[in-house]
Amino acid sequence: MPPLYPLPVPAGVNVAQLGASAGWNATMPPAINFLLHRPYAYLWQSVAQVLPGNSNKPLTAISLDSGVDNDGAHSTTVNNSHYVCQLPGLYHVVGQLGLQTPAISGSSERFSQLNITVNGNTPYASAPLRFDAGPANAGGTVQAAAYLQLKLGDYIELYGLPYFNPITTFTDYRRPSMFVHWVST
Amino acid sequence: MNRLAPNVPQLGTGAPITAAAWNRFVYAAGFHLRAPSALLAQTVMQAVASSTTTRIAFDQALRDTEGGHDPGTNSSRYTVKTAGTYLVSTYAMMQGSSPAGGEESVAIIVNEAVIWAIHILPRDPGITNPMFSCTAEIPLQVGDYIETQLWQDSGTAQTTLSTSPSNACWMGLHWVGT
Repeated sequence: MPPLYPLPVPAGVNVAQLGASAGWNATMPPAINFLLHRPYAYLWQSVAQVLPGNSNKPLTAISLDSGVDNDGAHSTTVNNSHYVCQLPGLYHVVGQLGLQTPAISGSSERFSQLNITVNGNTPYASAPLRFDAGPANAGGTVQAAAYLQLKLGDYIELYGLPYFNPITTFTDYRRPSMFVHWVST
Repeated sequence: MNRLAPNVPQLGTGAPITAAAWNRFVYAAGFHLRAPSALLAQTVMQAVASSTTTRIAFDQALRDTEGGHDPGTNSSRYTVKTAGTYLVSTYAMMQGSSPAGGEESVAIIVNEAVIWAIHILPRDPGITNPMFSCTAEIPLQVGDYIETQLWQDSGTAQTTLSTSPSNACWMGLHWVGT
C-alpha cells in the first residue's frame, strides 16, 4: 500500500462533539495508514557497472537497477540512480558501495570514495574506501549515512569516485545499495 | 520544548470514546508525524589538535524540533528533551598535514563519557581530506547530550572542513521509539 497524500493532519475533538465517526474516518485512518506505510525504498544494483578511472577522479553516478519502493520515487530504467522525493521532509539515507579491482601493482594511490548526493554531485556525506596492492577481484565495501532535508522533486544519488584505474562494482551481497526512509515533516 | 512520548490508553469494554481518549490518539499521530529530530551543521572551520579529543561545534541548526541545541552555548551538544531511542548519524571531514602513521577518527559520544559508534581510519598520506561517517541507535534520557568527537594524532593541528554543503560537518538525529 503506498503512502497516502496529502499528508494527513489529525484533528482533535471537543467534549460531546457530534459526528465523531465522520471526523474519525477523515483524520485518524489516513494518519495511521500513512505512518504504517511511510515512504521507504531499498534500491540495489544487479548489473555490474565499470567506473572509469583516471587522475581526474571522475565522479560516477551509481545505477540502481532493482529495488523496492513504496512511493513511486524510483525507476529501475529511467535515471535509475535517482530517488526522487515525492513528499517533502526529513529523510534518512544509508548508502553502500562495493568495488572489486583488477590486479594492482605500483605505488599509485589506491582509494575510492562513496558520496551521498542531492540534485547532482554535491555530496552531503562521504566515506573513503582504500585498497591494498593485490590480486584481481580483491575489493572492499564502504557505507555512509546522511540526514537530508528534501523538497518535492529533489533527488538523492550515490556517486563513486574511482581514482587509480577502472574499477567494477560487486553485484552479490557486496553490491551497491541505498536505503531511504522518510522521517518527519 | 519538552514533549512527552505518546501513550494511547486502552478503553474498557463498553466505555464511550471520550474526547480525552480521542485527543490522546491525535497527539500520538501528530507526534509520530513530526517526531523529535534535529540536523546540526558547522559553517566555521575548527581546529583539531593532535592527540586531543575535539567536539565539533555546530553553529547552525538546520532543524531542531525540540530546541535541543543552542548555537551559542555548548554548541557541540544536542540535549535530549524527550526520552527514547534515537537514531543518530554524523559526518565529518578533516584536512591538514598528514604524515604517515597514526589514526584519525570520528565518534558519537554521549554525556562526554560513552562512545556509541566510531569510524577510525589509519592515516594515509594519499587521502588528504579524510571523511568519516558513523551511525548508532541510542537509548537516551531527558538531559542526556550527544556530541560528535574528533581525534587525530598526526603531530600537528588539523582543521575541520566546513566551507560548503559538500564539506560541512553535521550531526542528525531523530526519535525512533520509547
